[in-house]
Amino acid sequence: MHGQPRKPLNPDDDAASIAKAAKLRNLQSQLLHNHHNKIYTKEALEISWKLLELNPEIYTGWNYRKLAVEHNLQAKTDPESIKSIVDEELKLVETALSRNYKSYGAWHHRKWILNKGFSSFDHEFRLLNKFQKADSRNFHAWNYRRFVTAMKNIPEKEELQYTTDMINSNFSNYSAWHNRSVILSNLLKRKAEGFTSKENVLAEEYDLVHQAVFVDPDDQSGWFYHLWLLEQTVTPDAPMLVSSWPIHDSDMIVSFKSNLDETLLSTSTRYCSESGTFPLILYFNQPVEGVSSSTVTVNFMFCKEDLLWRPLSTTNSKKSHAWVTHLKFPDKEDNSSKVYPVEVRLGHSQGIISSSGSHYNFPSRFAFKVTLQCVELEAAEGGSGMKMLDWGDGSFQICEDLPLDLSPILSLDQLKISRNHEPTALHFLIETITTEIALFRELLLEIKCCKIGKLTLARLLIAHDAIMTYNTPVEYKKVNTEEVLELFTDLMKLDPTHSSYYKDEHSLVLMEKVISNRKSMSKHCFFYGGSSSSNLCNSVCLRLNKLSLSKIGSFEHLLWVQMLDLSHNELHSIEGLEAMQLLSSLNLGYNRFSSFTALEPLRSLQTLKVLDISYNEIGVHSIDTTRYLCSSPLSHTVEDNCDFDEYARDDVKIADTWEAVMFFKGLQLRQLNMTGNAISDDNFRILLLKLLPKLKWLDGKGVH
Amino acid sequence: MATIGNNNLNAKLVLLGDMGAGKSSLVLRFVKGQFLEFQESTIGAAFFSQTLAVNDATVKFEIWDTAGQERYHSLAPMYYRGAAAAIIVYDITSTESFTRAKKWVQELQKQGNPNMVMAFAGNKADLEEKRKVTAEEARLYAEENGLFFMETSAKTASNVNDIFYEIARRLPRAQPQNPAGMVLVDRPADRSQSAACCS
Amino acid sequence: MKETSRPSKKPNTLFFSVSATVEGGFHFLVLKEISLKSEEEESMAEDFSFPSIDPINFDLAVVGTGLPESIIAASSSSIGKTVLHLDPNSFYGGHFSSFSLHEFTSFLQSQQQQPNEEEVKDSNSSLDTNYTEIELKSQCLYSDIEITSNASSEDLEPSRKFCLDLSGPRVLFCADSVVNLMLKSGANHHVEFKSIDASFIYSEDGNLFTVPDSRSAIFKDRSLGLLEKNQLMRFFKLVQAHFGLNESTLDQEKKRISDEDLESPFIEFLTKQMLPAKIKAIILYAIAMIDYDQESPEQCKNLVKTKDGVEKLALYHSSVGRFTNALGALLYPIYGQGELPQAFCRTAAVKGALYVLRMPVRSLLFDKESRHYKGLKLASGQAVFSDQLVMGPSFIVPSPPVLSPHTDLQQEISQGSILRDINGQVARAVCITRGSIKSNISNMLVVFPPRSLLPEQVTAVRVLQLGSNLSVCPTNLFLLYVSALCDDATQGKKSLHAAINALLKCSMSKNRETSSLFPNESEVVTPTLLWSAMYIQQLTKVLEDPISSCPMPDGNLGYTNILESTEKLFQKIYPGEEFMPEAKAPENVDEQES
Repeated sequence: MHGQPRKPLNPDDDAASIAKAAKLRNLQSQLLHNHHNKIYTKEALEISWKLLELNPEIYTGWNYRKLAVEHNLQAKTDPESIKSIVDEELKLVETALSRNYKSYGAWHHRKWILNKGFSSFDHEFRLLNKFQKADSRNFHAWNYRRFVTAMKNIPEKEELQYTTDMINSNFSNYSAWHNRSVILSNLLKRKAEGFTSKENVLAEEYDLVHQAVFVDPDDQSGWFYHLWLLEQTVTPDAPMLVSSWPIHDSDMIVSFKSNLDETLLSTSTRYCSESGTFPLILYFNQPVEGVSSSTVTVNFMFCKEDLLWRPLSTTNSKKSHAWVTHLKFPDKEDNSSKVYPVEVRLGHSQGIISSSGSHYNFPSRFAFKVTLQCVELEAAEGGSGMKMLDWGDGSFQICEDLPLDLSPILSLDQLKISRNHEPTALHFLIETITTEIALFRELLLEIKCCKIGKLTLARLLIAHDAIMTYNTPVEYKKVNTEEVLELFTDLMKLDPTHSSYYKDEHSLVLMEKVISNRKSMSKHCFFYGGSSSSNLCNSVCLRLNKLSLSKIGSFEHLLWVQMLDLSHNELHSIEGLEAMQLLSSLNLGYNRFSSFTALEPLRSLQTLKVLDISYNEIGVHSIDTTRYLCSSPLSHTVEDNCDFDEYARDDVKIADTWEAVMFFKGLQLRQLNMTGNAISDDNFRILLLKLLPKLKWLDGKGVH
Repeated sequence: MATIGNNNLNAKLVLLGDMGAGKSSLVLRFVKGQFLEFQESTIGAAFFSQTLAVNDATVKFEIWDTAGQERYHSLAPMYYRGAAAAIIVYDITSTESFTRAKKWVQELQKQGNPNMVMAFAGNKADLEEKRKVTAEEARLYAEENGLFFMETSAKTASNVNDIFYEIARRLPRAQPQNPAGMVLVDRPADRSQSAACCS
Repeated sequence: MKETSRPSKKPNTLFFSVSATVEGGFHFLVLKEISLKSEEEESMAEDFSFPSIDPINFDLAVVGTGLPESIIAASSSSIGKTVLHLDPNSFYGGHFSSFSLHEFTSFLQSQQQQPNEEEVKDSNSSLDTNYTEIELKSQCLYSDIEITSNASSEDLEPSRKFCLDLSGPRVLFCADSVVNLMLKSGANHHVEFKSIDASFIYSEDGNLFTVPDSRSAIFKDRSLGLLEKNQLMRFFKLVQAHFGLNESTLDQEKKRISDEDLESPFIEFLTKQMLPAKIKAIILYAIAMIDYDQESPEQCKNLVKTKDGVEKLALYHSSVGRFTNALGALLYPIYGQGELPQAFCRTAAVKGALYVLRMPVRSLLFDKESRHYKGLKLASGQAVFSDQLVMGPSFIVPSPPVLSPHTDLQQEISQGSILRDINGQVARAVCITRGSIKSNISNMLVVFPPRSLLPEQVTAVRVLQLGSNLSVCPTNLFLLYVSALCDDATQGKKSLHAAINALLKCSMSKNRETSSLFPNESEVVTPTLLWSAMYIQQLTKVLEDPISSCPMPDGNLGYTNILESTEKLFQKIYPGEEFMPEAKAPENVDEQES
């Protein structure tokens, strides 16, 4: 329990605890006996009482009692007995709580009983007050309080006042602030009386939280609340489309090749496809759900049936920033080079919803043209297989003459979005952020080493830039980037325990800086030219190596990328990369990837042909910390059709290699480099060859 | 197992009477069931407590001892404050103590609260052969002055519990809403001072 | 004929007692009744006679039942000494006592009639030729008494419900040493307390601002800017760190304030911390409770050093929240400060001390040969003997006689008799008002920093308002205690008058923006002044030689300083003994737990 130091054990305690343990075991075995045999007599209940009184953590005990109660309630129907049964349970919970007022089992049991509806809630407040007096930060009590107030229909305003009182008496109460945020969210969402103006409410809350963070900047509860306020302020209510591929007004040439063995490298406006389809990607400013053919209309000549939209996310959730569908050309053999217009419209009907429940409201459209081209390859090139892609510096030439429209961020004008914003809301937003920035700059002048102050300032500056970028018609020049990068660098030194977090944030800001405007992005765009190039234009590769990036982001700018070099960084995660549906060649060598599960986003990239993950740390750590975050057969989040046994061998255990199997099975790689990873041994190579039948190059050598 | 019900009373009870009338013996007999033949003047205990169960309530008596301050008529007003009940004790073998007891009654009526339950105890009832004060005159006096009267013997325990029970019965069930102040208790600071934990 | 007054604690009556020495050494007592309010006569008085004390030999005799004397009696009894504790008055507490309205008035008036100086009288009634008898004289320590009444007597009824402190304003800090003493001795059981609800500081524009004395108070205080809040809190944390009170010191470096800083004046240290003037005033006068204006060192009699300043801050802060039921730092005992001496006396009595009120001491007895103190001659004529003697402040202590067998002791005394060392004076006032200064606060403290009222107000004025929930006055009435250290009576009284007027005016202002959590309603019941008493009290020094004598109530708000001197006195008479040892034997006999 917090606030209480551990008492050192002394030898007298030993004997006592041995005796106690024996007693517990005895009671427990009796309970289990009764439980298994469904014995619910009075004596049996007594035993369970004693046991739970001694140790409220025994879940089975609570479950047993629940069964007993149900059993006994069936037998008795008169109100007196019912009341006595219920009261008995409540008394037991109270006793158990006085022993450990943070016992989940006890609190849950109480809720369960009260949900039965037989007893009144009046006593509950007295109980709650008692516990909150003992420890005002007992989150169980707060949780329970929410339950009770909901059941008793206590008006939320009263509860809000309660949190105000608690904060006034001691503002270091994280639970009180948290409760406040829950209540305010509800009040704002349902636009309750007195809470219709979000701006006024937030302004008051900012004022309150300022008192807390200024009086005691070391106290984190105020800062956390401030973060919540910031999210409330900054997060746009309505989702917006920020980027797409193909982009508005572009001229796309879709090429097919008839020979399936080769993959032609594409240019930015030329897309090569084997299957006769090309992707259409929509990227929103927040995760949304509900993108489907009823909410998005695509006018394309050959699009007769409903299109299937897929969210691009590594989790099973139906919400995602990025959604993709594939447009199909029906007839491969059509050589007419005819130009077909495509128009995409959304927002005309409700259906696209963000996680806060807001709908996509602005009717938007964008349009582009597609030309189909069927390319026959010279026989000289055909059949010999593709060349191995060489990531070395020599293969790249700087792009002097960059094709336009590399940065496909859609501005509001392009989207033809009717300006539906409330100017006051935007004004409040900008004003608030600016005030907050000024205030915290002042605070940091007073207190040089306030870590969380710096972090908050950094977040504020990022938010400021983001808002300005979204809301100004011409390209906004981000002014705060340097300051933010400096702040994060400071934080890495000030707060080493969290330096990996700061580094990730730093990387995200850096990446945004590098690729968010055309000028700086173009410095990182290179033409790839092999010695014997194909007769198609050289392909453009975005090279972001040696930037010390530990995390990547800003994918809305990267939808067009087909070739990406992220080698020689410090990446441990590529979360979000699944949005880059055009990616066909990727270099992740010389990074810090420690498992296949960390590379999960790649499984969504159906067009990925070339992958370099050499010189990483795959296989070094026996414990994969990302394992539980990704889909796996262990959590039943993956399709069951994966037949692992196929790859089992005597010397290769599936338990050790299921991640590799799952990862590679979905990919259609032609070229793979895995040297320099701990897992990479001969056995593994054999497995790989089995998993990747189309593989032509492995670890720099040809495959036969 | 203590249950908090509605009928628990706390009552401060003060003892009055001359030295040697047997105040302490009475209390000792009531609280501890003991009697010491040659009880020294009380040194050491500021008060005693004992709980009684009466029909409809439990009464916790907090019995204040005079600590000898009555000897030179130097009882502090604090002694009488908030007293719900009083026992005026005299020695049946001493007329002087009876006279003095009457003076104490007057004092009490002046100082104490008007709703005080007052008991008049003629102690040492076992010393019948040395009796100097008749029960009749004592009872008469008690009735005239709104007290109830009992003859007790701390030595034989006769009527000792009874007198307390009778007081308990007569106590008003509604506790007077005296300004509830707080009594200072030394408890180590168990409230978390710093904001460091869980924050 | 010598008149001594014995104000009685019985309501509405007052007695003057007149004792006469007649040849042959008999005393008799004539009781004279003065200032009738009711015809009730104390029945006991009819046949009053001095009791005979038994035994007559004690380890310690204490004359006077003021708080220091009572604490010494309790402590001495606790270490096993036999104690005889006397008081010429019929009530406990002496100058630390609380009175009903009429008793208060009569006490003050009787003090007025006390002769200031008396010649040494020849005492030819020594009963025993082994001893030299020196008559014990008292001095008057009150002057310039002004009592004004604006009310009819019905307004002030029932007058026996008043418990007016003679030495107010006085509160207890929760971490005050007297509280610790009470907890140690068990005396805490006898007294109940209530919190002082709020604390204010007066600003020159006539407003009262809540004192931001704790973390949550700073949080709520809207009169402070954000940076000011930060500065103030950081300063408090600095002080806490200095005392190691911060449990969560994340940095391991030494957080103590440097010795150089500690010796420097507190105000300099505060300036060094870049604290704005407003914050400095709050810290100096409303939290550290400093008296003299620290900004003008020439007039400042007491330029407080940093080390003392931070001690005072630490006392305040460790008081906040010390008891879970106490809101702030300050407590007040129900029924008045007079309860404290009673509590300690009871503790002493429980440990065996003998108590005799209404027993004046006629003279001190010294051994003819050794010139040492031997005992007392009581007003009853009886002689009692003790090894040690402690006296209250109003008795004049004879100067130490020069040790020479040839000179006559009495001669020496007459030449060298000194009055108690006077150590300054404090102006005090007690007012009875109808209506509170702040509409929904009952018990509150207001501090007027030096020069906030008048340019010649060189010391802080402190005002304590108490309401009827402390059982110190009838319902709907309030008490105001006012005090300020002063050099001369006129100046002191002027400051007090200014403060009282300012407060009565303060609450009259409607719609004034106050930054406290309790905004004034626009219709305020302006407090009406019904009655007031103003007087000057001399401050005395503690004397240790030749006789230990206790101090008068000082000009501070709490008891810390008084207790320090008391403990020193105790150590003087019983060196090496523990001061108020913890009650080891079961102090209270409890029932066996069932």
